[in-house]
Amino acid sequence: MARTPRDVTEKELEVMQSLWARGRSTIKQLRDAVYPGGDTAEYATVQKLLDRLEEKGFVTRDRVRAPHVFTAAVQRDELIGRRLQEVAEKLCGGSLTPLLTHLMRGRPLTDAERAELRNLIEGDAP
Amino acid sequence: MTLAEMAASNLVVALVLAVAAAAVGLWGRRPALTHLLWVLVLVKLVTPPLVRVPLAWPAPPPVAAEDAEEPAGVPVRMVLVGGGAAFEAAPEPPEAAAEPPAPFAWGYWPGAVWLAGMLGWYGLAWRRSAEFSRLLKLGLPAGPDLVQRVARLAALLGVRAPRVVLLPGRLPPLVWGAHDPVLALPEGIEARTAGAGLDTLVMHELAHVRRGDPWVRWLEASALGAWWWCPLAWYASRELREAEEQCCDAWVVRVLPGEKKAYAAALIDVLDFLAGAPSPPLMASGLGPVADLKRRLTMILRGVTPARMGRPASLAVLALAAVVLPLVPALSSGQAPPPAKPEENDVLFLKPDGKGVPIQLELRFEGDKPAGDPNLKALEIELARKIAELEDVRKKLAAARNKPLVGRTPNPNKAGGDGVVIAVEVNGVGKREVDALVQKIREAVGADRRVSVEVKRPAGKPPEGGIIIVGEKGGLRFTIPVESIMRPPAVVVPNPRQVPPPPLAPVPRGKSVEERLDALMKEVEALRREMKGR
Repeated sequence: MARTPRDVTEKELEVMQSLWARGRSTIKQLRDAVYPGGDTAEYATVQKLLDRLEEKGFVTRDRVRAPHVFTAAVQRDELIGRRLQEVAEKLCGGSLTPLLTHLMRGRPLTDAERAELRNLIEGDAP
Repeated sequence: MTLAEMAASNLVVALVLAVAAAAVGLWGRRPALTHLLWVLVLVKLVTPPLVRVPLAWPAPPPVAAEDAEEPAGVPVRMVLVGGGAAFEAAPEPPEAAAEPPAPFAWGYWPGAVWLAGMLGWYGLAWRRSAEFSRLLKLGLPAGPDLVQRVARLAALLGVRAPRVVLLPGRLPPLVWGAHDPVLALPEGIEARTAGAGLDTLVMHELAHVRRGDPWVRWLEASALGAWWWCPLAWYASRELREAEEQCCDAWVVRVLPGEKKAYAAALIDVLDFLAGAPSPPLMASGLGPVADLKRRLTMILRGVTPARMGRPASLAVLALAAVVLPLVPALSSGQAPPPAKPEENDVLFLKPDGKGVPIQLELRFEGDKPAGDPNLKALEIELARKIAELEDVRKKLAAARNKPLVGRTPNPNKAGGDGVVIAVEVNGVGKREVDALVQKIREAVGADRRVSVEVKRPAGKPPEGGIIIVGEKGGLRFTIPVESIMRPPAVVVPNPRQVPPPPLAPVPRGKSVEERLDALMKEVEALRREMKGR
C-alpha cells in the first residue's frame, strides 16, 4: 500500500526533486545532483534514501540493467501539492497555530448554494 | 503575585475586553476597530499585569475580639534566632495554617499539565511551520507577467511588492512570513481567474501585508500556545480572523471600487477550487457556514465597509489599551492585602495541636536565605510546627514534674484585675539580659498595669541557637526588640538542685531539612513517652 506524502523527509524530497528534474537516473547521477562532489558515503546515503522511497512507492527501480535505474512514480504536483495542502490544513484549520494568512477556506458548495450566491452577486451588484 | 494569580487576572481583563470586542463586532460597522479590540484581547493574554487595581467587595462586619470564636488563650510570640531554616510561606490565619501543602501535591498538577501542553503545542507548531516553509521553497517562481501585475497592485496599495511563488496543490492565495512576506498563489490561477478577479484576489493578500497581519499571526500563535486550553483564546482567534478578512475585503473595494462583482465571483471560484471535488449531495447542504459567505459577499457588494478605523477611534483604542493592559484586578474587602512573600520578622500563626493556644512564629533569618523550592518551604513549615509542638510538650513535662520555675514566680493575686501575667522562656542569655528583658516587658506593658513575669530557663540548647518566647495575657500586645537584649549564646549551666528536663538534642547543622525534622520528631516522641510515664 502506498504511503501518504507525510512520510517523505526533507532529504527524500531532494532526491525526488532531482528525479523529477533529470528523469530516469542512477544512484551515482542522483548522488552528484544531491551531494555535488560526494564520495562513497554520500553514495550509500542516496542508495538508502532511494530504498526508502521505493518502499514508500514513490520511485520505481529498473533491476534489469546494472547499475539500477530509478524513476519517479509520482508526479511533483501530486506529491508536493498534497503535502503542502496537508500541512496548510493543519496550520490553518487544524488544531495548531494558524501562522498562515490566507484568503479563505471552506467546504465544497452545493449547486443550490452556488446558484444562490451567484444570484446574490448578479442581483446586488451595480 | 503568583503565576496563577497573574493568569487569572489576565483572563479576567481579557474577558472584559472580549465582551467589548464582541459587542463592537456585533453592532459596530468598523471591522478594523473590532480587529484591534481582538488584538488587545490576545495581547492581554500574553503580557504580564503590572498595576494592581482593588475592586470593591462587601467586607464582612468586623468581629469584636471578645466575640471571636478563637479562644483568647495566651498568644505566644516566638523568635527564632540563628535559625538556618528558611521559612517562606504566606502568613495565614490560624484556621488556614492547619495543613501545609504536601510535596508534589495535586495542586501542582494543573500547572504542570498547562506547561507541558504549552511546550508541546509550541513544538508542534514550530515543526509544522518549518515544514511549510521548506515546502514553500519547492514552489515555482511566478512568471514576469504575474510579477508585474503584483508590483502594479502593490504600488496602488502603497506596499513593497512581495516575492511571488506558485504552488502545486489546492491551496488558496496566501501570505507567508512577516519580515519578508511571500505571496503564494496556486499554480494555474491565471488561467482559472483571469483579469479583474485575479487582481482582486492579489489585492486582498496585499492588504494583509499592508495591515501587518502576518505579524498578528505571531501574536495569535503565542496566545494560543500559552492558553491552549482556554476557549476564549480560540474564540478570539476566530473572531480576529473574521474581522481581518472583512478589513481586507474593504481594502479591495476601496482600492478597486469598480471590481466588487468580479471580487465576489472570484471568491466563489476560489472556494470551488479549494473544494476540488464534485459538489456534495443536496442532503449535505446546511452543514456549512454558507451564511457567513453570503454576509461577506453582501458586504463586498455594498462596498460601504470602511477599511480603516479613523484617527479618533484609533486614539481611543490606544488610550484604552494603555489603561487596561497593565491592570491587575484584585478583589478587596477594604483591608490591606497581605504581603505576597513573608519577609524577615513576619509572623506565622500556628496551632501545634490544632486547638488551644495559637502560636505566632516571628521569622528571623540568619545565614541561609529563603529558598525558592516549594517542597523545601513545606518542610520548613513542618519543621517550625514540630518545634512548636516540642516546646508545648516540654512545658507540659515541666508542669508534670512540679518543679519551681527559676526566677520570679508569678503571683496571680498581683496580676488580677487588669494585671498581666507574662511567661518568658529564655536560653543562651545571661541574668543581665534577662533583667533587661523583664524591664522592657514592663515598659511595654505600661507602668499603670500590674505585671508579673515568669522566667523559665529550660536546660539544653534549643535548636539553631537560642529561642525566646514571650507570652502575653489579658489581650495585651507588644513587641520587644530582641536584638537589644540578646548576645551570643552562652553556656547554660543547669541548676544542680533541679532534675533537668531531658535536653533537646542539638540538631547538627549542615543536615538536610528531612534529617532535622526526623531528629525533632524523635525528640518529641521521647518527651511524650517520658511524660506519659510520669
